Amino acid sequence: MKNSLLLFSFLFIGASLFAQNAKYNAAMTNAITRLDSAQTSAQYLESANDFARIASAEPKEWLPNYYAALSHLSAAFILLKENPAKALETVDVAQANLDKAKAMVPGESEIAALQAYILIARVSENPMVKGQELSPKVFAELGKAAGLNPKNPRAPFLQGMYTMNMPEFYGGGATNAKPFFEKAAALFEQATPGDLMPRWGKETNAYFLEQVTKK
Amino acid sequence: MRSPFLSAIVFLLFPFFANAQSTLSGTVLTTRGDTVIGANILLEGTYDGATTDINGFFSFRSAEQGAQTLLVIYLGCDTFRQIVQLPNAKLQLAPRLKESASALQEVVISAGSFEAASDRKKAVILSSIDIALTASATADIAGAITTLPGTTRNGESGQILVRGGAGYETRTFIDGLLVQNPYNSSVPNVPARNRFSPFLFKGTMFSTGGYSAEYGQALSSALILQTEDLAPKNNTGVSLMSVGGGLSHTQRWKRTSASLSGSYSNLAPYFALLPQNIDWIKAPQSGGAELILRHQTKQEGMVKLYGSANRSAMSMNYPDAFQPEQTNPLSLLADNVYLNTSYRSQVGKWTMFAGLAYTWNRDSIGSNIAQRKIQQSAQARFTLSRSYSRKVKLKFGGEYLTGRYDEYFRDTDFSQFHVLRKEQYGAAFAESDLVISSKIVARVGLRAEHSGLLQKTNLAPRISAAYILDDNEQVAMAFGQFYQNPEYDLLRRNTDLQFERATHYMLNYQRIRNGYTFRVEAYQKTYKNLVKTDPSTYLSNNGGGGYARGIDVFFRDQKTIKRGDYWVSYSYLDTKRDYRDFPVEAVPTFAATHNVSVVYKHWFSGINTAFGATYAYQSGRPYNDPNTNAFNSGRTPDYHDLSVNASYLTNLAGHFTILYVSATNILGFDQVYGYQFGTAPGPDGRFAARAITPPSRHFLFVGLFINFGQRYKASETTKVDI
Repeated sequence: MKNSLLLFSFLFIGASLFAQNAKYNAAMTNAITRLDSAQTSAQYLESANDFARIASAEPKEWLPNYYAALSHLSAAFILLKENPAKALETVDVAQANLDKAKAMVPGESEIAALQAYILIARVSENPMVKGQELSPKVFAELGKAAGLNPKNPRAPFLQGMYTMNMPEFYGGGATNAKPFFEKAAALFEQATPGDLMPRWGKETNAYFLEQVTKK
Repeated sequence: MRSPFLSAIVFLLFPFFANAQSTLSGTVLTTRGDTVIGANILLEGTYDGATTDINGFFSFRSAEQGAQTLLVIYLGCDTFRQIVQLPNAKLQLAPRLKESASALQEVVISAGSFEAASDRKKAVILSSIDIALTASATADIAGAITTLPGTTRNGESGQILVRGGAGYETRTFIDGLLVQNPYNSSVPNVPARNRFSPFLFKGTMFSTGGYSAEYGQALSSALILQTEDLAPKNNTGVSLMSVGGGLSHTQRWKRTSASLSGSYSNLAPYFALLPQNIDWIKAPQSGGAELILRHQTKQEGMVKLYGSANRSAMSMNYPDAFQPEQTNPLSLLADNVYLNTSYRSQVGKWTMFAGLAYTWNRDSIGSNIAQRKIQQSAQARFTLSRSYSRKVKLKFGGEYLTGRYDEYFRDTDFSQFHVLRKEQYGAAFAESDLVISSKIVARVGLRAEHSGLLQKTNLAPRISAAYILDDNEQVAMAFGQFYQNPEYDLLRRNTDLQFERATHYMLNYQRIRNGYTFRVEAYQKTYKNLVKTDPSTYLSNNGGGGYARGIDVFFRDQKTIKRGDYWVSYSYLDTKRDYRDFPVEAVPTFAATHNVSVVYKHWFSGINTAFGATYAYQSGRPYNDPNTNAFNSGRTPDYHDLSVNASYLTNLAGHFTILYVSATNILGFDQVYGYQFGTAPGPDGRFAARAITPPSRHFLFVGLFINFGQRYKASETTKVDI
């Protein structure tokens, strides 16, 4: 009797944990869906808030912080044109979100890739001044991302994007960017990301690949 | 009997059964009543929450029970917390957010200062790349600074003159330490260059007045330069210029970098090709070496050392001071040694800075007169700063300088004199940054100085404040008193003098938005105790004084023209002073009423070339014509200049190379800085005049800078193994 009671309790605890996990999965899936459909900076910031709430409830999960960083960063890229000062503040928040995720899983390729993306946002604010200072760091993070997971398509995708926007003299431009987009396209095709894991970039990569091929 | 099994089930199932829902809603406003859009509302530790909409409204449901903490998080505001009791079918909330003071602390009060910092939170107006690419500056810091409002061009000296102040009233500080000789030694009417390359610095702050109590001994202006930290990577550089060449090597270790460079210049081949207005006997030559060390300690502290040694020589047939139509051979031999070392670190909550600087400078002039000046100084500086709360930041510190001025002079009649002056100077300052409200920030400081040479003490208050109109717009004011020792050459005969004193008032409006910068500033400056020299006894006294007032306007547009960037500055100056040998209060020869600079830069990506052009205009400057009775009543013709430069970036045998070409005065304007008159009239009873003009009509410069170890080719830069 006692044994069966114990077994029963375990089952229940397990069920409760499972319920918790299901709730997390549901909340994350929901939030990721919202993020995927976001278009304006306000919508991206709303998504960032969704993930920040999940992050506060799940202090041991890195993905909510990762997505909060990604949402803030996406908002920042839109804000760069409308309100550069606010964009830079938003990039700072993205960095703070990413730092939390980084502390949990320091060796995650996706984190290094997103770190590179955040640095790219900082360069975009003033390419003439920031490019020289931050380019080596962008390439270092992209190299790290590719080293940690050679199959991460976001590493070559971001490298292609950064290369495309660099002056041709520095090794940038469409021709130089094309191989990266091609490599990323192949990796996006093969990719089988786990549940809730990052999937973004495929469509944009395809778009840029088309653009650089046209030229 | 109560079954433990049953209680376990009740306990475990509780969350599933107790599904009583609450609805929480409300509108979020700031304490000032503004709607907060996009704030994150959440119940701490749960998934429940919402984002406020365009009206600041939120509504969400929650199944949580008991006391929960509601948080409202919004960037730039303090997080709002409220305990709520759930369930509650209809819970109405009205959170009020307070703007956080920390968001405001980064505001830089714009009155009087132009900042060129890599720190984005400060108003970036000029970067070191800007300085290098400004046509007419020829990569000289002072040359680029003189395209900013508040400055007056002074082609004959190459110095930075600010708001009616003489050259000596602008002082240069490197990492907080006063630079005794910021310019290369030269002779009058041959322009000098700043000793330091713009690429040594990550931040340049140029203050046209009302600056911080941290800095003293400058009546008009402070040029505050912050050196770069660790060098990013190994690099070997070679420069080949039309006037000389240089070699440099930089080595980077994990936490340390070292760089050693040497340069030599000789203008003789250049002067042989292009006609010069100066009758050179020996064209200027100079050689120097530079060492830069950086070390980052494990505790994020930074140790910096910069050392340089330089020797230069020139000789020419120079117009006689008394009879300018005659010339005498004149030679200058100058030696300079400069050391600057500092340590910055975090000690608990305090940021600590300690610095030491040493300068030794010797100028030997030989002619029908002989003069040798040896000036030495050693300076120590220590500062501590910390934030006490988000609203109060305190900084205080002290400095001590010991200086020695040794001058030997032999006159035309072979009479000789020797002057030795020793200075022991000490100063202490305290300054606080205060966030008074979300709209008002202020900086209040006090500086006390004591000069052992003058045996005088002064107390200088400094106040500046800004009223924030919005993130990008502010109105600011500043007031301050500034003291400076009389120059050593006025202390030859007597030292019973006061500090010279200037009082500044200024009012500023600034707006920086979307790639546009606009600022306008009005100022009033009053001089007191300026040193005068008695024409008969040559004794100095503090009987002088004067004023300067004016308006400075600056507009920069980095947006309208794609790959183009331009700025326009205009300064209006009204000034008079009575100092030195002036018989009456008059407009000094270095003051021009109207100054205009238009600087344009364009990057042509197809040909990898940056092109720059600068147009400068200056209304006529006064000169004293002894043929008339009124002192300084003559006016030179207006000054115009159009200078251009181009930088072509390429790879030479796989190494990153810049070809730089610049030319001043390409339209060949007649440029006259002033006139020099003899001391005795000629046979016709008139004093003969000689126009003071640039050493040549144009200055052409060609340089090739090769960086070994810097590879910018696509295949190499982006060779990250993916």
